Amino acid sequence: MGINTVLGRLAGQMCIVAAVTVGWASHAVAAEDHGLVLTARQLPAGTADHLRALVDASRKQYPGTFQALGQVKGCTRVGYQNNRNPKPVCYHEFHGLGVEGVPAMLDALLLHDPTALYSTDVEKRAVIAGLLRAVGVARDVRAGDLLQLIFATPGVVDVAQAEAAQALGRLARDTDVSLLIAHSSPSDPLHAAAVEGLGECKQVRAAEQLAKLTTQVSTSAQRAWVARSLGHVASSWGWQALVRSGKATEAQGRQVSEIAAKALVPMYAQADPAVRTAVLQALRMAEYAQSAQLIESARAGKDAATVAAYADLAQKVAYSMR
Amino acid sequence: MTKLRIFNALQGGFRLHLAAAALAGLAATACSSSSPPATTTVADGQGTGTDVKVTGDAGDTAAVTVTGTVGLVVDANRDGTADPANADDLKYGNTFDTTHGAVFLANVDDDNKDKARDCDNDTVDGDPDLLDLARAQVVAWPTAPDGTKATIKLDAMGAQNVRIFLHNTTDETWTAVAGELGACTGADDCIVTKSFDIPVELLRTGVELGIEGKRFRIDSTAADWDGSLKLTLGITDAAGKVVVGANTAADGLVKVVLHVAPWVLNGNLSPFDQVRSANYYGEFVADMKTALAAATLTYKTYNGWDDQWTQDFFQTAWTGMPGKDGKYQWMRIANARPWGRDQKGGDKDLPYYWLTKNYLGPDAGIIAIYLQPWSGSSYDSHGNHDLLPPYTNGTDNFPLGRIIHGSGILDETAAFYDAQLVQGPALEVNTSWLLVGHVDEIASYVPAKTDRGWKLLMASGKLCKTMYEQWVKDGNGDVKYWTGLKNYDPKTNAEKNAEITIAGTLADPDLMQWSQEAQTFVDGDHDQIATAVGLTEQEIIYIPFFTEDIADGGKKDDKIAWNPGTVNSLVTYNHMMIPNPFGPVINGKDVMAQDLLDRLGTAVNGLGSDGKGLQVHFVNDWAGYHVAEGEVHCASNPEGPPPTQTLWWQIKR
Repeated sequence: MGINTVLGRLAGQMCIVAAVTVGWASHAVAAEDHGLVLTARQLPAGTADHLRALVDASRKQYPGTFQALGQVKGCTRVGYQNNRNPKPVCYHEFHGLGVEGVPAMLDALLLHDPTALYSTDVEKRAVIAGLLRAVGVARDVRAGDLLQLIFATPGVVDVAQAEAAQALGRLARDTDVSLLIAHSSPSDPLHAAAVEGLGECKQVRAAEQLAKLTTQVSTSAQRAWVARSLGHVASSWGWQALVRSGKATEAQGRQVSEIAAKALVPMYAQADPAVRTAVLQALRMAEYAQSAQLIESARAGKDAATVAAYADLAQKVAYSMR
Repeated sequence: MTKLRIFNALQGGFRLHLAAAALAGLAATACSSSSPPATTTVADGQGTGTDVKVTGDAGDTAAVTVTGTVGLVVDANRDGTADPANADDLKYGNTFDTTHGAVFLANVDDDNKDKARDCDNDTVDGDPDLLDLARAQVVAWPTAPDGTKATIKLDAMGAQNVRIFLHNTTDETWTAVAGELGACTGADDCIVTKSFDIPVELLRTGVELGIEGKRFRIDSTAADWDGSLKLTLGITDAAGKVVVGANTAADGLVKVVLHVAPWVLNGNLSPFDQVRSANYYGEFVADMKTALAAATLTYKTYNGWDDQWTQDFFQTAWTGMPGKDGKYQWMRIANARPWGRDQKGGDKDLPYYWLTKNYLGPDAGIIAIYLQPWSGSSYDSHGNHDLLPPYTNGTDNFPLGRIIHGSGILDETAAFYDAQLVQGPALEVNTSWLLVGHVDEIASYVPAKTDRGWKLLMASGKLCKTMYEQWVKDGNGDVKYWTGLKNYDPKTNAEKNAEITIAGTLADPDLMQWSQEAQTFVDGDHDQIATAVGLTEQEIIYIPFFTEDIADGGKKDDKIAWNPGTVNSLVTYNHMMIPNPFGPVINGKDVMAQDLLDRLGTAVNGLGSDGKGLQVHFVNDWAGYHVAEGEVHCASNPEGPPPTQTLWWQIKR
């Protein structure tokens, strides 16, 4: 059973989704609705109404959740300035809401900006990042289409696009993955976010797309970014977790690991410190069993400096796989 | 015109030579003669410091050679006194190397307890303050003729960074005579005086000078102060003639040099005697009290300051110069972070202000090395600034340890560290991937009975995962932990039950991926530290905990310990105050705590000065610190005297 199948079944069991689906597309968009990253006007016809229905149902069931969103400690000045490292971070609080808090978080992102108590742009960015990270980690299909909107709507703040892309990668419905792939072209304005999202997507086709991108990207930063995401998508620990919970198979994990390693090793020939660091880290995450052989093959015919660099790479990868 | 040269440094004992030589046409202020004048011995004496003779009379162009202990003497042999009768003090006055050379202190403590640093006024602040003044001695010349004039000049850079006091033995007072004079709170009340005269009466009796530094060396660039004070003594007779003698500088003047003592950072193997923390979280304070009592360290807590991260808002160090009986004359130094927690009180919310009220005192100095208050970031919290214990690796030798810091520290801080010369160049490792960004989140150091004397502790998600997997394999996957502990919950703006199972932890794909990525960053830092130090795998102890990434909306990686970050511990030599891991309880034992006890607290890794293991004390930091993004080391700050086994001046700089 694939991860998407499992998630789909989970979603199907969510009574709230079932309840609110009936009411989708029946309300007019209220002009005053304004979330943290989009306004209701920016939502396609019917989507805002659908979301309102979901939110209304949830508000009745979990009223405290909605009230709490506007004043989490991690993003209110007195909370982070005095007792934490003085920058706002509120993922912990939002994550603590669990799946039941997803409608409230979507409401905050898309309908009702809860951040009157958050005074600075830095605080608002942290709220957005925390909300979207928490929504993404919840892997709640109710959020899927809205996450796609946040990701793909022009003009959305960059942190929202990046976190929405990751959330889509985690959710990994077919349309989510297709959207990320579609925007992963190096010339696409959403390239970086899409690449990041594909890194969170534990699917073979996400890994294949990232591998393809290693030969398409042109700048050092892009190469390093793609390499990093290859490490994410191939994370052996992440795959093991999915296997443990029955959401993926070991064979899938091995396949992705191989795809990633085969794409990463040739990148190391480029004498670019940032790329080499990213490749090393990614290979350490992929833990591909035949990494040593791949590296040995890649050394053939290279100049002495590159051969030495590959030798160093082999040693370091072996250390992490000890 | 005749220029007199004075010998202050004698070779072959204390023979006195008086000689005359013609030095026609030399300018009084800029003698650059490359060939010394011819000399003729006209009198002999043994070096008592009193039998000095000058020949020649007014109008005579013949130079006069003076031998004996005329001149200016500093504590060049580092025995705590400037002794005209000591051959090395005389001989090495203009030297500074690992065996000779005079030192002065940045006098940044407050011996008279007036809540102002002793260097911030131009008076001597009581008898204890006198101990912090380096001494120089203008040697008595009992037969100095009337009209003889002695002048001491300071180099321009040195004058801006010191203050010189002159001792009046008749009333036992000390008067500021050179360097920065005035209160020097700003440019308007500060006069830089680069020279002063010694009246003939004092020249005949000899006079003692006291020297204090106003600051440490702050930069290594050529444009900045190199930490030295160059003093030049010239003596003229009533007619303005200059005494000339053998073995002086080519320009005939007596030259000595002193260097400001460095600021020396404490580390885990320092001989700490006390620890501070906030009186913020009762469980933490209670556990620390017990642990520190066992370690026989004084524990001080504070109230009324909105910062429970005691490690972060100041940094403890020491400075010292040679004292008597082979001991340091030293003081503790606290270095303030550039920013405070809240700006409602303006600069009163800066750590420097807190230090002024709560730290500054006798032999307890304070400094601020930042250029702008309220500058910097989390990287400038001092949990991101640590000290590798002493090591040698090839030609690299760090007998007082080597400063290690994470990413992003202020440029002036990095420059300050390197300018001290004895614990640098600092080693920078990558901590940019951490939410808080501090090196103490990933590495620490403990004593060991090995040739090196210490081992490195490094965070390890890999070990943590291996342990969890073994517990599952043993049939304990359903064991719950963190039962009864709370995490933040926005619904109450308070807390939420944190309970979880072992298997559930391993099945969390995000936590596992984040932990693995954190491990790759740690591996990179491991590679760097191990290479720099020359560590073998046997010299590294891995400390298990998982890591999460909690998205602050600012940078790409925001990783932080998910379990209590047990590497982030307070180490006071053989005692380790480690966050209680609150691990799963299997067969009645907290298996994470037991693992730490087994590997840190027994002989298995040869830790501790006797190799039998550290004294491990678990400290509950959960609700006050762990959930607020820090741990025990972040929450505490130790200090103590200098180590006795290594004198900083014996380090080749």
